Amino acid sequence: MSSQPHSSSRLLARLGPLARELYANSGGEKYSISEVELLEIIEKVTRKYLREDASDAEVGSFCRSLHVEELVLARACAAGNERAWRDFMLRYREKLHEAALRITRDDAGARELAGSLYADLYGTSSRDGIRVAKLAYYHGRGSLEGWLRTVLAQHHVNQYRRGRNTVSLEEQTEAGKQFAAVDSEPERAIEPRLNDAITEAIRAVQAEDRCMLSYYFLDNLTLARIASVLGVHESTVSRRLEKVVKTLRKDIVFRLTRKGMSRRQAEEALETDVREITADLRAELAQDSPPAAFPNKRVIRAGEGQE
Amino acid sequence: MEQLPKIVRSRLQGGAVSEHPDPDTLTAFAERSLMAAERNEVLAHLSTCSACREVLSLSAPEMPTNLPQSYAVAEAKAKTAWLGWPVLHWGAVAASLVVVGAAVLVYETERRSIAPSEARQSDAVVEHTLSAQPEQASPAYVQQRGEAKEQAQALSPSTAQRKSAKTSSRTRAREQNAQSSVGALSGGRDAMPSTAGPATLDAVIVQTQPSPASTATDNKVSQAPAASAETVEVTGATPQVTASPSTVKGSIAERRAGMMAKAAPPFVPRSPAETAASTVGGAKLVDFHAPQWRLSDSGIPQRSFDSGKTWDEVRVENGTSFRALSAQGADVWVGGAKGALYHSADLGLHWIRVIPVANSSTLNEDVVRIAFSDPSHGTVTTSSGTAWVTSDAGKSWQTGQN
Repeated sequence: MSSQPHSSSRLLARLGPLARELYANSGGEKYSISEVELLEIIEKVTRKYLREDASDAEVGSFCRSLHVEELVLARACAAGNERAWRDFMLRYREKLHEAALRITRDDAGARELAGSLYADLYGTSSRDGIRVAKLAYYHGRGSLEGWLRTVLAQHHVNQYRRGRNTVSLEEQTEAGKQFAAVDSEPERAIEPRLNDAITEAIRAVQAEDRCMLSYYFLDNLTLARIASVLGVHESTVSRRLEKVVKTLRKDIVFRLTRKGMSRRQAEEALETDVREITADLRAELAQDSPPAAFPNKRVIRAGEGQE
Repeated sequence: MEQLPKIVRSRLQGGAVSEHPDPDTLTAFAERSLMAAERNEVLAHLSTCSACREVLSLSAPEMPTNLPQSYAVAEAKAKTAWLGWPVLHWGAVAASLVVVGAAVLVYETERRSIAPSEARQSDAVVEHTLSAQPEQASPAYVQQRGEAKEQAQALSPSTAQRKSAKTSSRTRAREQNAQSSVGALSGGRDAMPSTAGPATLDAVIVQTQPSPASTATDNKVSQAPAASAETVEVTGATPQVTASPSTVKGSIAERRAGMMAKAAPPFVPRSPAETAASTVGGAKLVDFHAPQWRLSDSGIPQRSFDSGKTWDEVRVENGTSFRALSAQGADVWVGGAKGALYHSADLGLHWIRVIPVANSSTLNEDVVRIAFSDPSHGTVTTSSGTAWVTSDAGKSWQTGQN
C-alpha cells in the first residue's frame, strides 16, 4: 500500500466522465452528498482495495463494480442524515429481521440480534466524543443487504464465541457436558514422513477444493449448503469432493512411497488414529480464537480477471 | 462418499490463519463479484478459518439448484482437471498423430490417382447446380456454370458410355459461407446474419490450406452472395478426350476438390446446442450457434462466437450494470439492480424488459441469479433469497422463498 494517497482530483482525472456517471447513479443529491464528497469516499475505497500502480482501466472497472447508490445511503446514515435513516429503515428493517431469524431460528433471539446490530449501525459508542457508526465501514463492494447479513452473522458468531468462554462449569454440567477425560497415554509423535506428505498433499489441493473439504468434513455442512455458499451446483460439490478425497489419498501414498515407504506401509500409516498425532497447538489456538472484530485494514490485489 | 482419513482431516484444520477478510470482501465473495485473485485469497483463508466459514454459511441465502452457465466455473474447472490427467494427455497426442497420418495417407493416394490423368491430359466434367435460390445467382456465377456445361457437351460422347462416379459436395457453399460469415463476425453484431435461414446459419469455414481448387474458384463464388448452397457433381474422365491446357488445370483442380469433399461426411443441419469446432477436408468449421456469454467486470453482457477468443459487448440498456446472466441457445436473460430483468430471444440482438409480477407484488429487488433449465423454465433469485419461477418463458411468475 502506498504512503502517497490518491487524491480525489487525481481519481477524477483517471475516471473522467465515469465520475459524473457514478454520481448520477448514486442519488447523492437526495442526501446532500456532493460529487466531490462522493469522489472522496470512492477514492478511499480504491486506496483500500487497489494497488497504487493499478491501471486507469482497473480503477474504472473497480469503480463501476461498486454499489454507489447503497454506498451513499450508508454514508449518509453514518453522517446522521434523517432522510437517509428513514430510507434505510424502510428498505432494510424487515430484511434484517428475516436474516436474523434465519440465523437464530427463534423470533426473540432474532429481535435481540437485530436490535444489537442497530445500535452498532447507528453508532452509540463514541470515540473522543465522536459517534462511530458501523455503516461508515461499508465500502460498496457487495450489496448493502448482503453486507448487513454478513455483519449480522459476524455479530452472532462473536456473541456465541464470547458466550461460550464465559459459561460456568455448573452450566456446562447442567447442559450435559462433562469434563474431558485425560488421555491415559501420552501422545506419540507422528512419523515425520507422513506428516510432511500430508502437509504437502493438502497444500497441493486447490483453494476451493480445500474449502469444500473443510466445510464438509470439519463443519459437517450439507452438500446443498456448501453449494449455496460457494455458488456452484450441488452435484458439482459432490463430484468434486469425491474426486478430491480420492486424489488426496493417492497423492499422499505416492509421496510416502517416494520417501521410502512401501505401498502397504503408506496405506497403513494413512489409517493411523488421529489421537496419535502430535497436535499443532498454535494452529489449534489460532483456529479457535474469536475472529477479533474482523479488522478493516486489508490490502487486496486486483486485476487478474473476473470470476 | 469416500471418507477422508482421520489423520488428513485433522491436518485440514491446521495451518496458519491469515488476516480475516472484512465484511465487504466476504459479501463480494458470497455474491461472486470478486476478481479471481481476490477470490482465491478468500478461499485460502476460508479453508483454515472456521469462524469465517461459519459467518459465510450463516449469511449466505439459500440458492436454487439450477445454476446459470456463468456460475458453472467449477464445472469447467473439474473438466479441465480431468483433461489434465497425464494418460489422457498422451491419448490425445496419439489420437492427433493417427488423424494426421490418415489425412496424409488419403491425400497421397488421391494425388497419385490424379497424376496419370494429368499425363494423358484427361479432363473432368464438372456440373454445377444450385440447390438453393438459383434465380439469385450472379452473372459471374452463371458464366461459370456455362463454361462447365460447355465442357460437359465437349466430353459427352465418351462420358455418356462410361459409368460416372458422382460426388456431391457442399464445399463451394461452405467456402462462400466462410467468406460472408467471417466478414459478419468481424463486423460485429450488427453484421450478424440473424435473418438468414437454416442453411446460412450452418457453419463458418475457414480454409487453413487453400487448395488449387479453391483458389481457382473462390473469386467467382465470392461474387455470388445470393447462392447460399449448391451441389458440385464430378464425373469420371475419359483418357481419349483432349482438352486445352487451361481447362485441364481447372478441371483437375475441380476434381481434386470433389475428391476431398468425398471424404467429408454428408451435410447434416446442426442443432443450436452444438458448439464444437471440427475439421473436415482441410477446412476448419466453426459453428456460430449458441455463442458463449459472460458478464464483464462492469456488468455488461459479452458474447463470443469463437469459443471465447474474442468478446463483443452487447448493450442492453445504457447505464445498466448486470449481475446475473443465463443463456439457453438463442434465449438470453440478464438481471441486475432494482429488479432490472431483460430477455432476448435472438442471441442478444433485441432485448425486452421483463417485469415479473406475482401475487400483486413486483420484482424490484436486486437480481443476483438467473437459472434457466430450458427456454421456458427458469428461476430468478433476488438478493433477499426470493425465487421467482416461470414455466412459460417469463409470461407468468410465481414466487417462493429459498
